[in-house]
Amino acid sequence: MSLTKIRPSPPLETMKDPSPRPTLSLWERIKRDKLLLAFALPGIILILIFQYIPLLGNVIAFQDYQPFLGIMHSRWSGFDNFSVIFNGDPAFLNALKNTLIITALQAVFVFPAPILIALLLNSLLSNKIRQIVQSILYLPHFLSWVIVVAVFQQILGGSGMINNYLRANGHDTLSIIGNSELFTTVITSQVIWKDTGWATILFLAALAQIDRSLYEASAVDGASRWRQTWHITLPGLRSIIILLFILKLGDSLTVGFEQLVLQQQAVGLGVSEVLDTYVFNNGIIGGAWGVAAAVGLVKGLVSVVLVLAANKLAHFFGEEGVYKS
Amino acid sequence: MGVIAAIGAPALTSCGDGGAPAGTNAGQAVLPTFVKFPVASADLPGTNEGVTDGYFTYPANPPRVTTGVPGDGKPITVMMPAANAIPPATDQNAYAQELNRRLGSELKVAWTPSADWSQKLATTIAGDQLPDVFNLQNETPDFPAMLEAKALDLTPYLAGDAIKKYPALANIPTDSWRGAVFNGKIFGLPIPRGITTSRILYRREDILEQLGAATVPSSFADFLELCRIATDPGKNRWALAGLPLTFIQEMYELPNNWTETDGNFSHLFEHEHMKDALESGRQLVASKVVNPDAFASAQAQYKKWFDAGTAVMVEDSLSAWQGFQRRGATVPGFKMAAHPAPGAEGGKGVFWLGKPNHSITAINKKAADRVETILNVLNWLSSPFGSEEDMFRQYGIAGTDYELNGSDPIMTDQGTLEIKANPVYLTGSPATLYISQGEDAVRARHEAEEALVPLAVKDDSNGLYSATASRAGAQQLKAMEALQNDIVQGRKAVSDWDAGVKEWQAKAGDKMRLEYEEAFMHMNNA
Repeated sequence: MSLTKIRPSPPLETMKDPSPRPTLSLWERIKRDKLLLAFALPGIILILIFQYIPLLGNVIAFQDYQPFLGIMHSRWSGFDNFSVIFNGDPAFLNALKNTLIITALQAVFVFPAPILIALLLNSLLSNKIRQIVQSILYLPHFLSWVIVVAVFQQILGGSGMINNYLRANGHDTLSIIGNSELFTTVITSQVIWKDTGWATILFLAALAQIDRSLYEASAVDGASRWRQTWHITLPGLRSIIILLFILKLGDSLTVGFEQLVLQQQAVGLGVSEVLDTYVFNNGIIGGAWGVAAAVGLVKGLVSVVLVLAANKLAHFFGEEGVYKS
Repeated sequence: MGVIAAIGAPALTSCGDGGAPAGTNAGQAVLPTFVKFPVASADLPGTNEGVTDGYFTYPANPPRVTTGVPGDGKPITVMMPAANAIPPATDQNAYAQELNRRLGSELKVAWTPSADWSQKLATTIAGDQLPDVFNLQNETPDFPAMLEAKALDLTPYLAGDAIKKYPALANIPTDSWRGAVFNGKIFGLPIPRGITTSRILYRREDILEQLGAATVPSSFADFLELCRIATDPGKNRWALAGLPLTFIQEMYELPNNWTETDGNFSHLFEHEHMKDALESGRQLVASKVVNPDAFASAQAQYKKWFDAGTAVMVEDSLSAWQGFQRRGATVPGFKMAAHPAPGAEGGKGVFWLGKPNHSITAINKKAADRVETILNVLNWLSSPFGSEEDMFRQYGIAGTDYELNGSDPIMTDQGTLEIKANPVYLTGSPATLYISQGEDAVRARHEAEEALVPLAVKDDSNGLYSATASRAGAQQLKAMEALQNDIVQGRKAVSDWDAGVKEWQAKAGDKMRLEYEEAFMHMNNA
């Protein structure tokens, strides 16, 4: 009797609900949640019709698909369409290599950029200035890639603003656009310029969630701004950073089709061919829908594996990740 | 398109994305009889070899050439790419309403931006949703099989003298009809373009005159020198908007895509002088006479540079002439010209003829019961230049869409907007040369055509079908363009071309050759 008294009190949550809920059968749960389910129904139907049913169309990856014959009458071709991936075609390997290089560059330079900007914006005291800066940073997100590429070319191109100025003043010109060695730098800068501002939104929202009293308490304890960032802000952002990173991994093999296809001719396929443009140049262009579907399917599978693996890793480190296991 | 055109890809030089269908095995038996439909006599008559009829003004008081109303009162559904922006909807478009009234059958057009066309067509075919009438540009592999499955065989209605029932369609040249015949059957109506799909090198003669360099070059060395003189980066001016690879290849008298001798086919890529042409292209780029942004820009940008005088020369299709001339009207002293390519070492070069058609228009198998009505409507739409029907179709309603200046229609702002509903990719009359910019402009182009046409070289694969070309031709061409690009920009050596050609031959070229040779033999024995 006395022993139980000495035992430390159980954590708060378990105290509220000491016995687990009685397990309900599926039908009972449906009955209990019928209103909520009814609300979710239109969304589920939409997802079924526009996401899940079209997934069945992936069978054309195993067909010599011709639109005029349709899925029902096109010839089955087994894994022929996948040969482009596995036959070691140097053009495909080059595309894979470039995709991985660009993905790595984006993970290192593009991904952290909005976090830094969000921290910077957060440290601005004047709300008005912050809103103005934020609006300016958001704007490029709404421009299409055609415009962004044109803007970069007008400024940095061989007959662009900077080079015209240099030429007019008797200096040597800079070869930036169309220089295959600088291509990855240029496209990474374009992505940062276009989308960093927009991507700060989530981080700013997360920053707003952090309890102000933590900063006050740390200030009382004499913490510097740097220590506050390190010990309060970043831990507060950690779960959203990990969540977004996992999602980013999901489309890591998709590195900007439009952006690249617009700029391929100037720098050559050697540095600019990625998986998506390879599919376009070798599948869509000749009406080889089966091949295009096959590469898309493999890309999708790789992405799913990457997301699941990253999520497991997140759980391992005690984070929630995208979903709870 | 511009990106592709910039490199002068031989098979992609028409203004569609995929090039016009080539047609196959057009045995003479099925071809419609050609009956010229004389309406207005030309001020500068064309030739049978291809020079276009030239008109200084639009013929005054154009006569009606059809009788009655072609339609049957029921709507005709249509699918085609939009040449420009999507036009205003019919209920807000006086021109479209009047067109429907005159046709007697409403044209229900599903306009598709040309960039989305091939995807839209593929999904429409896959969904079995094709309308009564649809445009085709050889998008799908196994094109003839697709036509057999979806398109109505028009042979009984159009072959031989049967076409005389449709006089405006009979006015379409035989060469164009060859492009609509597949498996020995007429599967569509051509949208004829004559020689206007050919690429030529335009020059800003006014700028060259100012520089005292308005001479016609007599060799490649001469051309390079002219380019050097015309280039002045300090003034933001380069001789060439893009690399005029077609023009260079014409200097080396290279074949226009495929060439046939004694039944044997060989391709441009395999020609011994192809590497010389690439070397010359490389020299032009290395000499910095090409706009430094050329390879990062598209044809639309090249046009702007030429308009602005930032580029002195630009390669474009012959059909772009009117547009240059029209926009040039705002530039004081604007004068442009074109001349054939000289021989690389002196003498004469050649002139690559473009495909005779833009594309073809097919009629749905399911619309077989209305085929005569549809053909009547298409006949009406093909009414030749100088007829009342053509005047209306091209310029709209007098007083609303255009005002007359003499007998020349001048578009109003409303007209410019509404006329986009002109179903240009349904059918058309043979190309004519009419520029509402006065006599000199017409004469300049007519003279250029007269100089070019005697040097004309056809693509000998026109009218022949190769399954490999249809399946893998476009991808392999794309790969070769990438290699050409790398070579002329100095990223790869000219000697790398040989390995590229070997790969091309192995992946597609050799099979295409065999198929063309077989088709050629078949056609001649038929």
